[in-house]
Amino acid sequence: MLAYTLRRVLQIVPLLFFISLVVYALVALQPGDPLEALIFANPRITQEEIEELKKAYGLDQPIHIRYFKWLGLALQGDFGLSRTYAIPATEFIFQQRLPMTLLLSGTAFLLAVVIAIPIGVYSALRKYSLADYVITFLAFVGYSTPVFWLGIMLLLIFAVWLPELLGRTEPIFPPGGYVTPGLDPAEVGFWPYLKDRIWHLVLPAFTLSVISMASWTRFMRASMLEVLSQDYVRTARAKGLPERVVVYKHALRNALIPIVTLMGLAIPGLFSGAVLTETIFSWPGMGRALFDALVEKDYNVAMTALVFLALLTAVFNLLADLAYAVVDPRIRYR
Amino acid sequence: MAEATLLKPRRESFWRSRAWRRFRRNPLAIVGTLIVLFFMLVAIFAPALTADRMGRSCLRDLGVKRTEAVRVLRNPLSPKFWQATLHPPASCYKIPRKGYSPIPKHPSKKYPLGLSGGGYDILYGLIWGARSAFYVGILVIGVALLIGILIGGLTGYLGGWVDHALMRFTDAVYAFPGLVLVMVAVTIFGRSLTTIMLAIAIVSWPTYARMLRGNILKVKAQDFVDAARALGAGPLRIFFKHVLPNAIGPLIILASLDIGSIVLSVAALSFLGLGPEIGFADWGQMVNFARNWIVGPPGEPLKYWYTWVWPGLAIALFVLGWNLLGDAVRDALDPRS
Repeated sequence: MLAYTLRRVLQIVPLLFFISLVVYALVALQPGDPLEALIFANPRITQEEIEELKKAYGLDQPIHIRYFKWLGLALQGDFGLSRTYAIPATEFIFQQRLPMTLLLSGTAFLLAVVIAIPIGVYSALRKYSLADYVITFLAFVGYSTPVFWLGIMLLLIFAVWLPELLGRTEPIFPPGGYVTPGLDPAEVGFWPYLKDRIWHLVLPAFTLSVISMASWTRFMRASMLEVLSQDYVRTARAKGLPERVVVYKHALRNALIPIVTLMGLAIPGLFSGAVLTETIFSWPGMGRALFDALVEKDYNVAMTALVFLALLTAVFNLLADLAYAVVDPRIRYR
Repeated sequence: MAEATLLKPRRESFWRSRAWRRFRRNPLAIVGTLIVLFFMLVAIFAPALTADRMGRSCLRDLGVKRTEAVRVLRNPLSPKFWQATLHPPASCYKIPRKGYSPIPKHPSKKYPLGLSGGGYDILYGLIWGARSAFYVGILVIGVALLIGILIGGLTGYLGGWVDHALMRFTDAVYAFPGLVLVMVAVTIFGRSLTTIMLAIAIVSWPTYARMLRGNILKVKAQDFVDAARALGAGPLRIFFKHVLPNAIGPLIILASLDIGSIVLSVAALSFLGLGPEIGFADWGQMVNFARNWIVGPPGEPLKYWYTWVWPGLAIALFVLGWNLLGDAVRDALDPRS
C-alpha cells in the first residue's frame, strides 16, 4: 500500500508540470500583450522606448525562457500582481476570494449530503413505490435543469415575486451579495450579523447543491439496493436481527463506501461549477474572479486560479484513487 | 486435414432480447424516448415549421421568395423542401429579428411566443435551437469519440509503455476542470460555434478513451479471443475482427447518450456570453438575451416571463429526455439488473 501511495503521489509531479505548461501556453496565446495598453495610452511612444519596455517586462526573451522564469517564481508562490486590483494575485485569490468560495461550496456540499443520503436510502427501502418513482423523477429533473436558469427562477420567486404577492417590502431571500452592504458586526452584534450572512447564503448554496443532491440520491439508492441483495444481508436477516439493525448497521455502512469516493471526486467540480452560481448571485468568490480575470485580461489572477483548480482536481482524483485502493485490495495492481 | 466448420449460433433478434424487454417495461424509459423523439421531429422539420417566419438572409440563401416560402417549404414534393430539411444554409441558424428594440414584445398573432430583448423571434429560436442542439451534440460527441477511440484503441492494442504514456496523458487532460478550460479557450480564440465545439470535444474525450481501454482489456481476456488465436488468426486480425467490434459497441451507445449533458454545458457557456456567435439559435443564449428582463417593472415582476421561461424549459426538457433515456439504456444493458 505504501509503495502504491508513493507511486501515485510521485505521478502528480509530471502532471503538475504538464498543467503549468498548458496554463502558461493558454495565457501566452491570449490576444494582445501587456504592452499594448501602454503603447495605446501614449501615441508618441518611440520604437526605442517600446524595446526598453519590452526588456523591462522581460518580453524580449523567447517564450520558453519566460515560461521557466514564471515557473520558478510560481514555485516560490509568486504569481505576480493583479492588474485590476494592484495586489498580489495570490493574496487576491487565496485571501479575498477563496474563503468565499469555500463557504459557498462547503455549505452546498453539506446540504447535498444531508439531503441526498436519507432520501436515497428511503427510496431504496421502498423500491418501486409511488414515493420512489416521485423521488427518482425529481432527481432526474434536478440534474437536467440548467443551474443558471434554476438560480434565476429562485431569485425571481424569493426576492421579487413572493414578497410582492405577500405585500412585504423586504425580500424573503436577498437577490445577491454575501452580506447586507454596510452591515458592521461591531455595530449590530454578532448574532444579527451571522443571521444576515446565513440569510444571504441560502439561495446560492441551494442552487449550487441541486445537481450533486440529485445525482447522489440516485447513486445512494443504487448502492443501497445492491448491498441489500447481498448474501451477508440475508444472513443477518436469517440470524433474526431486527430490520433496523440489518438496514443501518449492515447495509448502510457498506453502501456508503462508493458514495464517499464519489463525493471526493465531486469536490473540485463544486469549485469550478460555482462560476455560474457566483455570477447569478453576485457572490464574490473564486469562480467569479477567474471569469472576470479572463474577460478583463488580468492574466496573473487567471493563472493563479487555474493552477489552483487543476491542483485541486489532481489531488482529489488521487485521494479518490487511494480511497478505492483502501476499500478494494484488488485495485493495487499497478 | 478436414476443414473446421463453425456452426453459427442463431443470432438473438433485438426485439426479443432481454435488454429490449427490460427497457420497454421501464416507464421512465418510455417518457425519455418520447421527449427525445419529439425534439428530433422538431429539429428535422424546423425549416417547414418556421417557413412563415424565416429571416431574409436564410430565404435568400435558400433561393426562395418570401411570398412562396410557406407553400414551397411545407411541400415535401418540392426540391427546396428537401434542401432546407437536409442541408439548410448557415444563415438559417440565425434568429431573425423584428426591429432592434431592447424591450421585449408580448406575444402577438404573428409572434405567438413574443419577441425577446433585441427583437429576436422566440418561437423561431426555440425551434431552430432544437436543431442546433442536435447539431452541436452529435458533432461534439463525434469528435470526442474519434479522439477517444484512437487513443483508447492504441493503448488497448499496443499495451506496454505506449499504454502507460498515453494513459498518463489522458489522466492529465482528465485532471483539468473542463468547463473552466473551455472558458479559457473561448477567451483566446473568440466566441464562435467551432471554438466552443472543439474545446468541449477536447476536454471530454478522456472518459471515452478510458472506457474503451477498459472494454478492450475485458474482451481480450475472453475465451473466444483465445479460440481465434488457436485457429491461427494474427494479432491485427484478432484486434480488428474480434476485440474492437465487441469493445466499441457499448462505448458508442453510452457516448451518444451524453448529448444531453453536452447541450447543457454549451447552454451554460452561452449564458455567460462565451458561446456561439451572437444571434445563433441556441437556448442558452436566448436566456442571456432575456437577462435584463427577468425581473419586470415594479408591480409586475413577471411581466416578461415569456422571454426566459420557454428557452429554459426547452433546455431542461431536452436534457431530461436524454438523461431518462440514458439511464434506462444503461440499466437495460447492465447484465446484473
